[in-house]
Amino acid sequence: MSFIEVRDLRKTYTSSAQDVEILKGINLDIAKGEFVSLMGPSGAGKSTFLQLLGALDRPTGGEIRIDGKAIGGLSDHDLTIFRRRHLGFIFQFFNLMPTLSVLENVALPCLLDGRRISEVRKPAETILTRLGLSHRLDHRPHQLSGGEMQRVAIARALVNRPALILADEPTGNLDTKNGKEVLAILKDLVSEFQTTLIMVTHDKSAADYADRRIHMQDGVVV
Amino acid sequence: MFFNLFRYFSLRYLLLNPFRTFLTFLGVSLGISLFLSILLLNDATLRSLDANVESMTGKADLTITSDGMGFEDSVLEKVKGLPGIKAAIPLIINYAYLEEDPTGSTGPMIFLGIDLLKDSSVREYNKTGEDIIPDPLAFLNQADSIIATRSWVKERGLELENTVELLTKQGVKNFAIRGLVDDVGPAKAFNGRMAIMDIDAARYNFGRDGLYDRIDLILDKTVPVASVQAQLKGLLGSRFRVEDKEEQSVSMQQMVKSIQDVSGMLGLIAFLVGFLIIVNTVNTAISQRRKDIGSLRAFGAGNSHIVALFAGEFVFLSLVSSLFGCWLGVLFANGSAEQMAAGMNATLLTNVSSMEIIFTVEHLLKGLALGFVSSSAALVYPLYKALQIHPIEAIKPATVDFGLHQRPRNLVLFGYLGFVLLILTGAGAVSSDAVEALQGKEVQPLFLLTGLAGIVMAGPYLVLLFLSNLQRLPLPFLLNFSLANLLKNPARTASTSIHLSLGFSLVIIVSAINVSFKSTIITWANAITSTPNAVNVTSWGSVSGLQVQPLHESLKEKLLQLPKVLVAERRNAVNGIRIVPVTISGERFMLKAFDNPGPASRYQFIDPIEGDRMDLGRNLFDPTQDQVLMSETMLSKFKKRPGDFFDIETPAGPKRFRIGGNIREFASPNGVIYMTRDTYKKYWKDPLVTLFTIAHSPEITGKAYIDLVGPGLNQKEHLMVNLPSKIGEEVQKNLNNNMAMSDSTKWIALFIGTLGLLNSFLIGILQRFRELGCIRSIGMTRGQLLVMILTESVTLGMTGIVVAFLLTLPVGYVWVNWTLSRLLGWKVEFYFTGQDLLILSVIGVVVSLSAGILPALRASRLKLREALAYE
Ligand SMILES: Nc1ncnc2c1ncn2[C@@H]1O[C@H](COP(=O)(O)OP(=O)(O)O)[C@@H](O)[C@H]1O
Ligand SMILES: [Mg+2]
Repeated sequence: MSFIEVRDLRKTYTSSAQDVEILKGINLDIAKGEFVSLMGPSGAGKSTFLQLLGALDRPTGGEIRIDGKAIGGLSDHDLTIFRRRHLGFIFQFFNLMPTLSVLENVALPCLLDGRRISEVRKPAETILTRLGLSHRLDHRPHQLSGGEMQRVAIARALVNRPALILADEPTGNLDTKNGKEVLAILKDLVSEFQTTLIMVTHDKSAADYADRRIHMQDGVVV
Repeated sequence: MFFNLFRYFSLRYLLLNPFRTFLTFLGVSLGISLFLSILLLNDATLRSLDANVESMTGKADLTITSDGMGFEDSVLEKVKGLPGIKAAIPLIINYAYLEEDPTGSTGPMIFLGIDLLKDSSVREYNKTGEDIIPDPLAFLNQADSIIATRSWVKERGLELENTVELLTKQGVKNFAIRGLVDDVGPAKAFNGRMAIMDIDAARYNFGRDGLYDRIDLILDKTVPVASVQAQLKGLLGSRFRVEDKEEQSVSMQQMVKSIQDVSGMLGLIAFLVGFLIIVNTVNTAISQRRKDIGSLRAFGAGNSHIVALFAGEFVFLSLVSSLFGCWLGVLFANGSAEQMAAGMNATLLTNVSSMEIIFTVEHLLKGLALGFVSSSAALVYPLYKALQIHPIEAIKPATVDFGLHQRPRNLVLFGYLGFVLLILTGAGAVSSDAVEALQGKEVQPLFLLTGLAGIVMAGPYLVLLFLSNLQRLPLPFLLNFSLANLLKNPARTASTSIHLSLGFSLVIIVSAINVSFKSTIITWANAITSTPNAVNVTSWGSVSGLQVQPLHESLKEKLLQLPKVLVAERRNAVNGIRIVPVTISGERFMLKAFDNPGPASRYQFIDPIEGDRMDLGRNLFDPTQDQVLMSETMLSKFKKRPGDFFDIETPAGPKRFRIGGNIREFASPNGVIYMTRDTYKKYWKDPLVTLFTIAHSPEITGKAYIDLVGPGLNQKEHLMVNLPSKIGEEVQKNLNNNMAMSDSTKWIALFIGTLGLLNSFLIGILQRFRELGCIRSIGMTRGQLLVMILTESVTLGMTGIVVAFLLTLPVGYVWVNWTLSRLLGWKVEFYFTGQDLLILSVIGVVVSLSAGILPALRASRLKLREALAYE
């Protein structure tokens, strides 16, 4: 049994005019600790697939199992808790909370879990230090550069030591140099933490960092 | 082209956000409707007063009146002798009851005593052409003849020759209906509640021997009216008014002006609250559509197109809202017309009887103009900014919004300016006493405006100050996070809080004003009516609005024969009080003349401001010189002190009175003056009494005493026996009538404020979709999100309320104690209890919760995928 099992996954958008099938039966197995890149032309359904994996949306058909657990059967509340404790997200636009400091942003998943800032300060600091941001703890996101912001987002995704990180074009908004830096750190950390990483990108050089490369086209894995 | 812009963009945007469009629509139309209904009511009042003047004055060129309580009939002969006067027609006006009206709901019947042969040359009585008096000989030969209106006779199921009972100077007598008039002229003005007697019969029956109430003059067309008027004024002296129709209307309108000023002000505030909603909506619409505007520009749209796009959308929306608001306004006005008229009649002693709400094209245009102007005003600044948008905006990638870049510098500046305004308002209002000669009455509305502006400007700043200090406290994470979210966008938070502050301030101020008026007046009413073992005797009707029929003083002997009347030393058991209006320097005051109840009564009816009640009583009843007691309002108006002398133009010529003391008195807003009935009779030659008080034996309670003597007096004599506290209750009821309009205005304004708050919160949520989606995706549950958003709205709501209290109570204090006292005439003390504070706070929490719940639900239901894709 693989860490992630995707079976005949389907997603259809229903609009008043017509139904559009975006994912047309995806089957995929990903092992624990694997770094997978997901490539394909725009509109292929990569983001949709990633969001289903991340339990941000529910599939129209098929099944996803993560660590043996069928996430389709969970309630919205349980899914949220699952995301909070076992998943990490990295977005193209960083999506940091502008009102929180760097440290608080990283600690956010733990704070939402009801832990005190004093409890989570240490692990958050540790991870931020690893990412070279120890001097930025009390800054606000708008005081950071793009590369720094994405490193904060990575720290936030990693702080709970999740089993799975999902990244949608994490370097899409960074220049080449910063993009490379971010990718190198990401690769290091996931291998150290034994975290599975699925990363959508359409940059071929970015995909090269991955252990495995998957291509999608028209809603299927090719 | 412009129509296409409207069809493809403006209209579609409106339909794309149906809920926001609806909220804006509702807010604007409610605001307009309040404004308009006050306009309609004020117009109807003025029209009713005009109609009154018109129907009573008819074809007369000039009208002579005195205080409204009659003048000696020798005036008629004097006037007749003047050249240029074709006819001088006297009139007696008397209130009387043909049915019991303990609650004062139907009001009295107006009895006109007319010269039957001549009166129709002035006033109109006949529309149908039918004979008014079928048998003139029978009418004139019998002293018990009256004429009634057709509508009243029909309503009561009566016909010619039927008799009705009527209280007269000689006791209750039967009168026969021997004539019928149509509902035109005076009958129409009094809604059919009018009856007519021959003038001499009226004088005899109502105890008005030797008096007339008014004389209407018809002049020779050859002489100029103005010269006759000047001559008459010289002849009669300042106690008389000699006015043509217009001048009479103006005098009437003058009486209601201050009340209309205040209600107009309230309507304006309510409208302002609605206006803020459209400002907010316009602002968001434009900032949300930066990209669309950029694209349109890139495709070649010019400034005029962009302007047309938004103007089309919002001017259209606000015109539609105004149209609906006009309709609502008519509805509101009709709903409150009766109560408004009742309140006005009771306090101002006017006779506004047929309030007919007439909605004219002019009102429609005013409503639409208000909608047009306000939406245009709301558009100016946002449009100006929209025109700066570059086509580049369209192709820029989604900008990352960090919020915090907006520094609230303008808000701070605004806030300081607000405080300056508030201080100026306070200083101006307080010192207006000293500089009254310079400023006069007209500056008072200005203080209402500056106070309000101060609240609006200082409020948001204080809210932000509060929130940022709150954030310093060690708070749980979610609460802290909510606060940070509020502070992230100070401009939005501030504009949101204005909706609530303004609506809530209005509620606080109107409540404080109402509570102050009520408490002050009820405290006074209780103080003067707390006489133990006493009851009041009046005719049917309500004393407080002077809507009782005066009684003859000879009734005293009859009352003394009643059982269990208190016989005691140095005390008179039955005492008459005469209450009449009196005109001094062109203003109308109330005169109360008292029989001396004797020192053993402890002069309970006097509520002294300074000095001892017994001393004031002794001064009032001083047999060696004429003394009066004066209400505080009157003293300050004439800049007099106790001990000074005061001149009054009496029917017996100008007389000088010593001011024996200052008293608390709220029977009339302008001011009240007390004298003894002996003095009054000496100079006014009026033997009538408005009410009697009877002191009864202490072995029986007031209630039991009323049960004992009441039914007999009621049936046989048409008299009512009541506890003294009944006057207090009547005063309270009149106050409620007067405040009904401001009461409903404040609640509707609060409702509009709540809509604005809701609108603001919703806009806020929509703008934060992406951020909220992100935080949900990293593990915030729906419940947590719901709590967070609700915390934000309640925190903002509560802060807004605290700030509203902080700013509004002092302003209310200044307004009540100075501005309104001066505007309305009542010298009122500011009251606001902890209980009022509590009730309003609870209402505030409910309002902010209910405005927060919808946006919170909307946020918690957001689709994560869409939120993350949201731009
Ligand atoms: N809510 C939606 N309704 C209908 N179609 C959608 C919706 N969201 C995305 N799509 C469509 O689904 C397709 C796949 O989108 P996405 O997964 O974002 O592609 P990718 O990330 O590979 O570029 C696109 O053609 C997009 O237009
Ligand atoms: Mg994508």
